Amino acid sequence: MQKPLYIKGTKDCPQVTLDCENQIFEISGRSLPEDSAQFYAPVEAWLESYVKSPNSITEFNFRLDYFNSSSSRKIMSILFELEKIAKTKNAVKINWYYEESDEMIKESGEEIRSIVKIPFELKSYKAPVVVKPKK
Amino acid sequence: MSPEFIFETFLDLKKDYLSFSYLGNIHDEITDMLIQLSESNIDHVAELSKMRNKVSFLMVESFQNIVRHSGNIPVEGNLPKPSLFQIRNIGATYYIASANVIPNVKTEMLKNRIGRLNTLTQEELKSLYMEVLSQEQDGIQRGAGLGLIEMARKSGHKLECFFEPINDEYTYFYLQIKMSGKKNPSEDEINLTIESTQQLHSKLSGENILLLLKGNFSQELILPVLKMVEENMSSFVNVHDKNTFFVLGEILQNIPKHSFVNEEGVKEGIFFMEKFGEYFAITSGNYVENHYVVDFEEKLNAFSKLSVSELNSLYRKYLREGNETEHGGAGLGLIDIIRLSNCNFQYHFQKINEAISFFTMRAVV
Repeated sequence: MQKPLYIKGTKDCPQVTLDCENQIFEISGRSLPEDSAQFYAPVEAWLESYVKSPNSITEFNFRLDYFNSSSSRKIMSILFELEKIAKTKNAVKINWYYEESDEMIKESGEEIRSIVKIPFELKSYKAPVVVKPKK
Repeated sequence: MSPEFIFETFLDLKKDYLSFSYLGNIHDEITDMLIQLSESNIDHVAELSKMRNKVSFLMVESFQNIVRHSGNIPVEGNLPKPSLFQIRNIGATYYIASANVIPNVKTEMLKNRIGRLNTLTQEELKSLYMEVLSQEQDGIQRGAGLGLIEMARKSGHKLECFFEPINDEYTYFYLQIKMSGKKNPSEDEINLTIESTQQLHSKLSGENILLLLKGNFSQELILPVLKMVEENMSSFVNVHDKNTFFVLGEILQNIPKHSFVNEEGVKEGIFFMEKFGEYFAITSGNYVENHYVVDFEEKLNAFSKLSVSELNSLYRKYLREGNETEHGGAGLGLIDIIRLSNCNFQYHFQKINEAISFFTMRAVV
């Protein structure tokens, strides 16, 4: 089985978990690298290998707060790769999470959904309540 | 930098709730700081709060557009002006501007591309975006104009550009994005032209300014700036030790300590970091209430007559005795600024009316 890929998130790069054994496929946080090609190269390489022998079901989660335009290209590249799974007997599904008041991430999800040819669900979530310490 | 220049610039930016200009090496590491900076003040206008993410997105796109196009250009030192990144919030309108050097051969292409985007409706921009996004990557150049399309789309206004030739090879490319939180902003909120941005850039560059911050001075505003300077110290020239950072922090935090609070509850102030030969000059300007001025001026006058060793003794004494004034300072912080600047410190009070004066201070480190 393919070794998992884990990239720890930073202030401007997302957290990536690609783990077929535990069936976790997720990109979360901020994706703002100026050189998105460099950041996403290992992700693309991992997926390229994965789609040749994928799990019977692949549920891929995007939980992004922000992403820049060069990341949107890379997100598309990931989705185009995942489309290859749908052409086999295996199943693939995308979950696109957005914070309920975040219209921008929601709209981006709707646009991307209209381009790709795989099941793609938009899911809203409530922002965690931040309690500020009393001064 | 004279007290007159400081006050004049402060008045030029009078309508700005937030004004941030960064001149110098533009690189990717300050992206996160820029988001924090804009988010620190965006909640003051309800209409802006709703578009928080769009403003952050546009800042990042604009900023990275500079990084993207800055390959193969002369180093900053050989240019008449350094690159610029600027954010200005006036009323419910946000302006994001950049200026960077491009080879002359790119000028026509950019002019045409922006001109074309400006003729498109929102629907047409969306179609263009989807078309570019849905193309497989092979054969598409990095960028491929997606950033510009997104800027035009998300701002909801025409992109403004301006080209200022430098020589036979290079040109300054100015790009300004506008975002309005209101459908019909009042007239004074929308009159910031790209030409005025270009003039401000020249003015700041003429004074060797690296960083300008004008706004409502609170800890939320100060922290991202401190973080940015700390993370970028190595990119500024000849930083001998940590003194610059300490003085900068003290001066920034000194503004809200002494500042007059206006009727909107705002502690309005201005802050500059400037290249001064081998050193840096750190300058602040803010209103103070006149009834504090006599005591404040007396203290500053007394401190500025002391030598560094006398200031060190006084500092220890204040520290031991906890000698703080009722106005929350005029003590340790100021002594620290003067001694760390090796007594290279100036201050000035300009009476504005019966209630307030404009106070400026400047330390070279």
